Amino acid sequence: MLSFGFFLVHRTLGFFNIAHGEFAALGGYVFFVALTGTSKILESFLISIVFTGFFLMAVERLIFKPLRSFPGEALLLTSFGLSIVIRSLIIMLFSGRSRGLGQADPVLHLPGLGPLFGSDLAAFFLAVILVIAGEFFLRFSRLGLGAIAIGDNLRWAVIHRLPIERILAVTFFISGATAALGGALVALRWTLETSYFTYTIYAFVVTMVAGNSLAILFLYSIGLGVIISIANKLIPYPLIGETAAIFAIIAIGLQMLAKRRRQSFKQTGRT
Amino acid sequence: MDILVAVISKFLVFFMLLTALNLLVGKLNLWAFGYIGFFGLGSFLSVYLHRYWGIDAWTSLFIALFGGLLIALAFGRISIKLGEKPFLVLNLFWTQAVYSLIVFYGGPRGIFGFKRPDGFMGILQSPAGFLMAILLPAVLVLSLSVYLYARAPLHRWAYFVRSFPREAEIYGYKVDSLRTALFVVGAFWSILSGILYAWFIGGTDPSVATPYWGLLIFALVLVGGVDSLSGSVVAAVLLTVLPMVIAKLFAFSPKASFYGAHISQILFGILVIAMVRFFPQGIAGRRVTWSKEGY
Repeated sequence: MLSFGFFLVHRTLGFFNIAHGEFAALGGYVFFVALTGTSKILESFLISIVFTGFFLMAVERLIFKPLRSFPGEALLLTSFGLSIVIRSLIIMLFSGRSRGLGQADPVLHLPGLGPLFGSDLAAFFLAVILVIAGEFFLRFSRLGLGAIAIGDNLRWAVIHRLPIERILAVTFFISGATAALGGALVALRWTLETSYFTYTIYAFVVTMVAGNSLAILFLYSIGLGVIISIANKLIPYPLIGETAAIFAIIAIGLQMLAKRRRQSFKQTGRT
Repeated sequence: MDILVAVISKFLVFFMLLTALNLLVGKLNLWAFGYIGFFGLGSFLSVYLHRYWGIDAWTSLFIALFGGLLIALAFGRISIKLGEKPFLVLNLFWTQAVYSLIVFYGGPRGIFGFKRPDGFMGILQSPAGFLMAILLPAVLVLSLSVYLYARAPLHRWAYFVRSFPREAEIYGYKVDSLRTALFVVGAFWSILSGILYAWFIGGTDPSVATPYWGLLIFALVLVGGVDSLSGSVVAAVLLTVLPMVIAKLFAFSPKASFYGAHISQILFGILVIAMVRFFPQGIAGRRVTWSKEGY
C-alpha cells in the first residue's frame, strides 16, 4: 500500500517522493486522533484517508506545482525538505515517542509462522484490491492514462490539452489516501511512529526494480515483506534481516534489468 | 573554551565529509548518498579493531582506511557500471548495510571507550591538541587538494565527462574509470573523516550512519552550494554551528529546548525547499546541481 502511492507519484511526475513515509505517519496520527475521538475504526480510517489525501493535494498545488518543469532531482530534494518539516511538526504536536494503538486478539494461528491479526488480513486484501483497481485506473481510465502520459512527456500532455491539474490532483489524492491507509494499518499492527522513513526506503527499492509494472511492484512488495519476516525469524537482529531482504530484492531487480537490457539489445541493437 | 574546541572539531570533521561529497556531485554529478556509509564504516572499523582486536590506534586507522578504500573501489566500480538508477539504489542499500553492521556489533548506542594514541608527546589526548595536530592539517590538505584539482587537467576531463558522457566515450575517455577514480578519492576523505570523528568522540555513533543522514548530508551540499569549497563551509556551518546557536537561544527551559531543536529542523526543511525553487545553485555554489553545464 505504501509502495503503491510512491509508485504512482513516480510514474506521474518522475520523482521519488522522499516524504511519503512522513505522509503515512501523518495519516497514522490522524487515524489515532480520530480513533481517540470517535472510538470507531472504520470512521477513523475514512477521516485519515480523506484528510491525508487532501493534504497531499494541497502540497502538490503549493509546493510541487512551481517545480513541474524542473528535473526529478529537484523534486526529490524538495520532498526531502518537506519530509523534515512534516516529521518535526508531528514530533512537536504529538511528541517523539512511539505509541501502540492496541491490537485485537489474533484471528488465526498459523503453525510455524505465528498469529495472524485482523489488520494483517485487511492489509493483504486491501493491497490486492488496490493492485487490481490501480491496474484498471492506469490502463483503462482517462485520468490514469493521462497520468501515464504526463509521466512520459509533460510537454506533449500540455500540447494535447490534457487536464493536467485534475490528473495530478487525483494522483496525489490517491497517493496520500493509500499512504494514510498504510500508515494507519502499520500503527494498528505494530506502533505509531513519527516517521516511516524505513518504509520509504522499501518503497524506493521496489519501485526502482519494478519498473512500470504495478503487478511486479505488488509481487516485490509482498516478497520483501515475506523475506523480512523470514529473515527476522532466522536472524535474531532485525536490521540484519531487513538489510538482507533489501539486498535480495535489489539482486533480483538487477537480474531483471540485465535481462531487459539483453532483450532490448537483441531487438534494437541498443541497450 | 572546551565547547568552542568541540564545535570547531565537529565542524572540521563534517566539512571533510561534505567536501568529499561535493567533489563527486560537483565534478561528476554522481549522487552518492552512500558516502555516509563510508563515514560510518571508517569510524566503526577503526574503533572495533582497536577495542576488540587490541590493535593500536594508528594501525587500526590505516587498516580501516585501506580496507575501506578497497571496498569503495569494488563498490564504486560495480555500482557506476550498472547505471544511474542502480547506483542510487545501491548507495542507499550500502548505507543501510553499514548501519546494520554498526548496530549489530556495537548496539544502537555504538561502541565507546576508544582512547586516542599517546603519540605527539601526549598532545592528542587533549581535544585542542587533537584539533591542532590532526584535524586542522587534514582539512588543510583536503582544501589544498581541491584547490589544485580545480586547476588540473583532470578537472577539465571531469567537466567533459559530466556534460557530454557519450562524446567523451567516443573520444576515448574511460568514463566509468574516471567516475570510479573520483568516487574512490571522495570515499577516502569520507572514511578518514569517519575515523577522525570516532577519534574525536571516543567511539562510534550509529545515528549518523543512517540512510536519512545520507540524504541530509546530500541536501546540505546542495543548500551550501555545489562544486565549491565555500559551499562546503556553508553546509558545515548549517550542520554544526546553526543548530547549536538555535539551541542556545531556546535554552531557557527544557520545553523550549525541545521546541527549539525542532524549529531549527523545520527552518532547515523550509530552506531546502526554498533553495531548490529560488536558488538552485545553492548559497555559495558555482552551478545548478542538476545542470550538466557550468564550469
